[in-house]
Amino acid sequence: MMTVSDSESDRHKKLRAILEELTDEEQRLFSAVLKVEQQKLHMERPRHIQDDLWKVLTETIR
Amino acid sequence: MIFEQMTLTNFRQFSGKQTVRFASERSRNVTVLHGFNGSGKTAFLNAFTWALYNDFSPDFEASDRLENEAALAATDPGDRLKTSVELVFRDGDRKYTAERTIEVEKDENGTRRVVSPASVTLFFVDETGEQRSSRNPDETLLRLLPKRLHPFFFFNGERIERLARSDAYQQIAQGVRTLLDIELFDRAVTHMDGDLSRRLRQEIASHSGDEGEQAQKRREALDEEKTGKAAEVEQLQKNLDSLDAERDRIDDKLASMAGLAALLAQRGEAEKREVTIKTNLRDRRDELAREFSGNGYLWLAGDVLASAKEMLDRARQKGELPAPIKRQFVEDLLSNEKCICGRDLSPGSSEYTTVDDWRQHAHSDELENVVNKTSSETRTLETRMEQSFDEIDRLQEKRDSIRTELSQLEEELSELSNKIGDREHGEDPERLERRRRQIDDEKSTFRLKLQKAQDDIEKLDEEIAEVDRAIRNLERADEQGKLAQRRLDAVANVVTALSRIRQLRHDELRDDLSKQLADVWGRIAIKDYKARLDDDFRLLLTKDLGGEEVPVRGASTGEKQVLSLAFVGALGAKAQETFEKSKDGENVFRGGLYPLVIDSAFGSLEIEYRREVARWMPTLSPQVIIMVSESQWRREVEEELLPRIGAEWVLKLETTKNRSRTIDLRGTDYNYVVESDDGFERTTIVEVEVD
Repeated sequence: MMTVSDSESDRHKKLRAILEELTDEEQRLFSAVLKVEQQKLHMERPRHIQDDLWKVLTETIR
Repeated sequence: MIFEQMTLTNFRQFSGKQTVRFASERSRNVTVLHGFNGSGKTAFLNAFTWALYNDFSPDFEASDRLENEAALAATDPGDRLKTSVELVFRDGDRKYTAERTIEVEKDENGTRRVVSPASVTLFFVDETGEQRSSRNPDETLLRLLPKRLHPFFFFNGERIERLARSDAYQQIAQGVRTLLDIELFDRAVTHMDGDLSRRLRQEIASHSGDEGEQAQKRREALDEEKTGKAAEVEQLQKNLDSLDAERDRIDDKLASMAGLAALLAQRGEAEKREVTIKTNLRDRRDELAREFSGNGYLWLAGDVLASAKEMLDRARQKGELPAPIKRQFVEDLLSNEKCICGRDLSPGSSEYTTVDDWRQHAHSDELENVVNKTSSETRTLETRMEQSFDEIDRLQEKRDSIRTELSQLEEELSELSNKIGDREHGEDPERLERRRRQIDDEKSTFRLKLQKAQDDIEKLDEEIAEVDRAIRNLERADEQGKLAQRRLDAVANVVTALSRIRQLRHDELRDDLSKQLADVWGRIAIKDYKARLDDDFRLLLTKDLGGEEVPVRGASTGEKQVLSLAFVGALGAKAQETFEKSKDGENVFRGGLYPLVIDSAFGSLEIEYRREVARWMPTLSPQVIIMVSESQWRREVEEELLPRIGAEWVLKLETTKNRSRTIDLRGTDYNYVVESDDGFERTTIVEVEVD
């Protein structure tokens, strides 16, 4: 049990470390991209996904 | 997603309007529907997939005629008959009602025609308690429970063993990717790294003059080449998978043939040794490569070392080494303007010039140290060079001996194959064995091609990375080009983060699912086999042979069913665990709650397996709905499931023959099969009283 929770905590730390390597601007982009993808995840070929991503990119990195 | 109830209206065997309520309490999460053969258990399973996806399972026949026969017969010419399935379910905080409907009309001649094809409506109660309708119901339903997941959650227990076939791993990997959020990251990487980055590179190029345009053209050419290679890899991998599956089937058939058991056992043993020898050979090759890259420079240094040694020896013979006098000593005399003999050393005097001449012959301490160190290291390097030559000889000898062993084993395998395929065993083994040999040849060819294509892709990736760096750093970019460069940098960094997190998740899932699978299997299995998922998400059963783990060949259908069920359970449990954790807001993964709807839930399992599976089934998912025949509803199943049942129903079958019978449930007899009074077969759903 101890090993499992240690390992989970390690995973969480690793994940946080990866995100913290990004600038604030990039972290905002990261979250926005996942949100856009999540909304169209059910589609085999997500319509207009590139336009959606372009929009969040240009709004985040000015 | 948790189902609350389903209402069937004139759907297949179910005439009129009939509603089934499902159990969803945590402690009593199992709903059981009992039904005789032909009473509509499979139709009931397909009512879910039709309502949600307008789709059916492969074993659902005549799916173009969904209406109930008796209801159609009772429809007057010119009138319409509505067939529908209404499903009420909860997802998160929302309650949904989905209804798929199809309408047929009977014309004056009594001919049936579809007047209103299948369509769905979806209503939900929003956060304010107001009922609203979805503008795009099909899409919303697909978002709530993606269609590609339905084989994992709506299935026939008798066919679930397909997941344990060697060619099913892509379906499993796809299920894991979709259910546990890897696909989300894959898609984000593909879209960001693909079209979005391409658009940004074009923008940079078009704002950076000729240099930019040339770089962009080069990039596009590399992209095209890589796409071709990736398609080649995919096709080769599919070919290999299909050959593996065919080889497995041949082995299963051979295993069932009389008179071959001893030869097959010998071959199994020899093939196991072959795997070990090939692994040894690869290890030796890697060791040689490490020796080459670690000490290879020494073999080229032989001449240099010899020449350095010769120079130093010559200097020693001439008395130049070690130096007769130290430079620092001479410099101190000149600086103090006094010789050790007591004479003055005034600058410009003949004594000064004489002593100063000695400075040319003197060495510094530093040089002396370097010379000494070089002499000593030359000897060390020579020793290491000799040792490295010895090590290479040793490794090459070992490799040659393994190659000889492998070659002998290959001859042995070839001999065994000839014996297995000998006509004395009949035509079938001969034909199967011939095909097995062809398959092995074809696999070798495909593997070589695959390796070559993968190497090509690796080289292309390096070239692409180089061109991308050049585009990102094009100095002639104007202001708009510079903004695009900044955006491309951000996209590249986000893509790197997404890829790294995706890898973390992939490793976590492989480890956790494999562990859970092994755990469940260990509790249920009778034989001392081990279950696990390999790196490619292949479901594997292995056994211990002399301390070595080898794949189980010819596992029974029941064992494969249990293995597949254990995998589905592990998948659902991991999705649920992720979902629970996502509530704290820290987690980037979402997971979800998924119901399990199983027709013929206990398939063809032996008694021992049935009891264990029944005990463990309620823990597979937050909601389990199973359809069983009387022969599957055995005492041991009932004993284990009874405390977990929250809802129970009988599919009462009306037949045209007088074959009436009852089923005893909880001490009460329920009509199970009754005689129809109007010449039509139909099923009525009857609720069983649950405490």
